[in-house]
Amino acid sequence: MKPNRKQPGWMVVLSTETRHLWLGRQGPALLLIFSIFLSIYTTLLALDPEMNVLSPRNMTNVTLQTTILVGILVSLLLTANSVSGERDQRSLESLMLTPLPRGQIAVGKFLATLSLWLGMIPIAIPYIVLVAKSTGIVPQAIMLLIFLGSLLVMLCAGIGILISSFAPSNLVSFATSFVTILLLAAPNQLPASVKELPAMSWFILLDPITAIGKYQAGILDGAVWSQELGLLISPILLFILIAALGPAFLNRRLSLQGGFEQ
Amino acid sequence: MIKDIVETDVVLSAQGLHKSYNNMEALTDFSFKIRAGEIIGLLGPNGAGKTTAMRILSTIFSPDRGDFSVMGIPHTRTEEIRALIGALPESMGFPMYMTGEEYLTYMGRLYGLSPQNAEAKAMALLTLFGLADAADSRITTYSRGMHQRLGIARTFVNDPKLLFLDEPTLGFDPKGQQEMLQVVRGAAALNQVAVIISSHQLEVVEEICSQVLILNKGHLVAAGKVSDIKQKIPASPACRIEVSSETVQKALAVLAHMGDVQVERNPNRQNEILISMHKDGTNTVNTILQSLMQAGVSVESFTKESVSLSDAFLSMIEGAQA
Amino acid sequence: MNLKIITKVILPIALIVLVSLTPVTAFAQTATTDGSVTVTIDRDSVSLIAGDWVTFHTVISNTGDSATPPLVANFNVASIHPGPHVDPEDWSPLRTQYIDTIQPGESVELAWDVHTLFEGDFAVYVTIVSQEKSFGPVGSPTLHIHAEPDNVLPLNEVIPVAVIVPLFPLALLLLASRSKRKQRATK
Repeated sequence: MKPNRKQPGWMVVLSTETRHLWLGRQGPALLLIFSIFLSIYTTLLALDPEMNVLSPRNMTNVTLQTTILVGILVSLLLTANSVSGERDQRSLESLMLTPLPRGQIAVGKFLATLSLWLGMIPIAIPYIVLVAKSTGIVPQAIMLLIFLGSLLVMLCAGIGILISSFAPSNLVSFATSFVTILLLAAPNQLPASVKELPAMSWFILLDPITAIGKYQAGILDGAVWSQELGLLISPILLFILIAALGPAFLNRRLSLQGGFEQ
Repeated sequence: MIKDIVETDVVLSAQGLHKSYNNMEALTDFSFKIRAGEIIGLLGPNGAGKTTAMRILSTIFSPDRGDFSVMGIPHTRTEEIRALIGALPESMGFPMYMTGEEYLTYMGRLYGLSPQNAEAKAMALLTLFGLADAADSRITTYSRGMHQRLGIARTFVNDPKLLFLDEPTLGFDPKGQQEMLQVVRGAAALNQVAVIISSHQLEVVEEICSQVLILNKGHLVAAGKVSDIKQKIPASPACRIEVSSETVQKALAVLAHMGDVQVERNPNRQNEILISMHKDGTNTVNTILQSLMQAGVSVESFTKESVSLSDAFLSMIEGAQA
Repeated sequence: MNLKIITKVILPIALIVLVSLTPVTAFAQTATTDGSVTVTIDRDSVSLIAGDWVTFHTVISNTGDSATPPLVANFNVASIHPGPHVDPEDWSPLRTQYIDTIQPGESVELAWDVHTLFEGDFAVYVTIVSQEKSFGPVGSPTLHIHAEPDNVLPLNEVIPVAVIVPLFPLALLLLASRSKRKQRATK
């Protein structure tokens, strides 16, 4: 006897979590922190002569990367808490007792987190326009923010939800999520000559954050969109893998205490 | 045919359930049935496997071996089973930022109710469990007893056929406890809900349950009606007498001479004496009363003490451990 | 002396003499040698906008009688004026190129890509070394890069954005608080 469902379960979770995020003031507060960060960042760029020596194109690239990275970290704050937070406050069992497939719990929470990124995009656009307006690459910068930024945020949020689903506590979830993302982002900061090494070029292809960083830098330097499309393969494939297999995996493996044993 | 008729009202049937953690057997060969409208008590000392059993049967855990079915639905079809059951885990948590009404509405919607029906159901349950005034307050402001009421209310959101209640009376005052038991009895009698209660408060189990299952170290050591369980123990008969204040000392002296009896004076009621007779002793209630009356003791009241479930439980556990 | 004669005769002659005496560096033919190895560079200066890429070429020639040992060409850049630190790693994706031996009379051309990260005046040069200890470093002529600033981020445009944009999420926050209070009041 299946429950008579008017709305899919994940939509119920999504609407409840989104409502709590925005009406509960957590979402607006995070947006405010995000916008204040970008205000301080751009003001420092304008004030500090040492920071101001970057060319506008380079400045645009750095600003875009910083914006997307902060967007990822803020989204991680939510996803890392999503399932392990319920586990910590002992409310996960109540959710697991409903007829909702367990993967749908994670899907609803994941989509609620994305609503925050959708709020960050219009906040970030004025700053990107400000930095990029003298370069003639404003449309490219905005497209990169919207499409590639969203791809990266979705990918990292998906990783965060998976980690949160299996972490035995919130502390472990936060620590593992942040370390994972920082490890993925670290190679992007390596010097150009190291990135050119044959071994590193494979790693760059496979590491989604570094691959997108390289593609983005190319577009902002004047490359056409179809150039180096191969760099987008790993982030897109990884996201498809997580989106397609994650819910089914969680249906079977999401447990009360965390970990991988049932 | 007769077997089919008897079995149609079986709500849950469990056969040979096993579960182990880290090479430790938490539940071994656990089998039982519960019928519609029955209330079964699940007893056992700490670590006996009660919570493991409840979590397997409510599909939170999967058994390592064995099967069970709810209303004929095999345990592998977990989502269908969950639509039919309600469960109150011990120390249940809540999303503290929600109000009581928001929480029950959310749960109702997760069970497939429309937003309007879920809201209506939430208010009805909050009223039933005495939380109507706190419906708009955040759960973080609720007392321990209110949390418990909310947890029990949550178990009724989907009009379940089978309820699992783990320590349902925790945090209740005596009045609240009675009210809760009344609701559970009502659900069982009127709606034919089958209920499995796990509690350390044996007097609660004795009051409300028709059957008990006693677990110890993962094994089912006893199962059956409460009265049958109580009769299983080789208990000593006992009685309580009340004598006049002038003859208390005389009564104590007579009883001390009798041998094969243990005498205990009630410290709160000076005229009351509890007498336990050794099971192999020659004294009976009649001989004791005769001796007292012959000695001129005025017996004002006499009550025969029955064996409590607590006695039976302790005896079973100690026997199993021996 | 007649001013007219000075401006129309003497000055032009003086200018011609001066120019003819100045070494011709337009195509930077001047090379520094270590006996048998010479290095030339295809230009001596370039002006561009900070952030632009430029490619220059060096030609390493063996003017001696015997083959050179394996050579290592290394790209270097320095800021001419005191200022922000210039890290060659960031300015060129390929700092070092390796050359097998060059036979007598033969040459090897190398291309170098340079990304001018910020404004200023910079000296770019290539040094040639070898694993043979006797082979001293050989330096190329200098390529002078002048990078013009490209519209620095103006503070008077930054401040309005920095102040106004956070007001939107602040308004959302206040609205959310108000909505919660209203909800509680109506119930």
